[in-house]
Amino acid sequence: MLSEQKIYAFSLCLLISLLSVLPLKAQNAKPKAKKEEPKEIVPLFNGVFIGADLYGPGASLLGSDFLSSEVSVEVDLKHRFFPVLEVGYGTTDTWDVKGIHYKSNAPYFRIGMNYNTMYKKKDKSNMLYVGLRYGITSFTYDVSSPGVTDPMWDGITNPLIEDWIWGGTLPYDYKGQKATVHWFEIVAGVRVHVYKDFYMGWALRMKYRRKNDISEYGNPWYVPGFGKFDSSSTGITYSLIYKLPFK
Amino acid sequence: MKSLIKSLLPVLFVSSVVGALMVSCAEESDCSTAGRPMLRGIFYGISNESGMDRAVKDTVDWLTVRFFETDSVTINAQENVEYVDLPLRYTADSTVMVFQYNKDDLTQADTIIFRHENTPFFISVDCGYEVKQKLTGTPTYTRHYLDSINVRNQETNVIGTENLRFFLMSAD
Repeated sequence: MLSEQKIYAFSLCLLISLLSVLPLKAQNAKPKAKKEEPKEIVPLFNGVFIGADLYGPGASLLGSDFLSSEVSVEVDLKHRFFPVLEVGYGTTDTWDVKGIHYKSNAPYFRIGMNYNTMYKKKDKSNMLYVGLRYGITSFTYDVSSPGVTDPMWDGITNPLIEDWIWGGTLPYDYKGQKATVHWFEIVAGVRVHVYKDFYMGWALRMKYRRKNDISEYGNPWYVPGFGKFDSSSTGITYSLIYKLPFK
Repeated sequence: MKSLIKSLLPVLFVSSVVGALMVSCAEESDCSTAGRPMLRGIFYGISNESGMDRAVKDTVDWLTVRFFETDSVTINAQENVEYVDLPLRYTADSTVMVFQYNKDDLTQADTIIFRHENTPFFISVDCGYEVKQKLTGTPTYTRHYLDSINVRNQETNVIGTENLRFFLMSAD
């Protein structure tokens, strides 16, 4: 009973304080003459940025099976829209512990646009953006698994494709298999001003395979610019960017 | 310089966290599609209950399936068999199997010759290879207990898709 009384008393005090503050605030609020802020006129073209990815070569140095390096050209339109073209080269030459040898290298291309979510900020040097890309690559890949000499039967066997029911093995050595892969990317990233005309930025990329044309003898394992062959993939780019000194 | 460090630190931190996450995710590889592809054959009989011939699922009371060339057995003395999963040879373009229907009289049998093509198919470095096999025509067979074979799907598979319908002779 006592606690209920306390609650009522507290609620009443709170209500009275709120009611007493509101009119004061209303009294203090003097009608202000609406100031027209000068509208910022942003030019359409604000420069060209050239970027080079450091993440791909870095990952390869740290032991990744893939080496991917790319450059990008980006145009600043109204500090808001950034049409971008990315050109890269992906390569791999991997031996698996089971004895599969996979080799491929090819260029890839992406085209798309970034949207700067911070375009209203006064400081135009940094940006947080989202974007879309359409990527394409056409490449060849060599896959083989060298046979093993069977000392008992004096024949060559391929233990990776062994018929454990009927016996015997199939060789696998298909070079120059052709594939073309298309994909979409959703990109989110940041770019920060570092020094003079230099910037740095990273982007996280969600990649979704759209369509592909592959060999009848196997899937590609590595798709340049996309990553491992799957329905989707994720990627990172960490770029050093230079703003060309002209507008 | 201070602002440079200030702006680069979060970038480096987020990059390393996302990178670590990506590496851990990338290590998982799904090799569930790899496995021995087989031909699935389902036994049928003809029913004439409503005055019209209709295919109905049937069972074989007793069945052994033997490989002709190696004399090894893939289905051994099973009872009430509704379907069979048959492995085709990787290293030849035909596979011969013998269906035996009676444990007391092994001459009560049918021989079936499957003609097919074999294509080794690379899945990935992590999962290796599979062999895609496809029937190149209707199997040829003796007709002691088998009435006919109907090909529904030519490609062997690992998910139990019906490839063949084995129609059994009617008892009368």
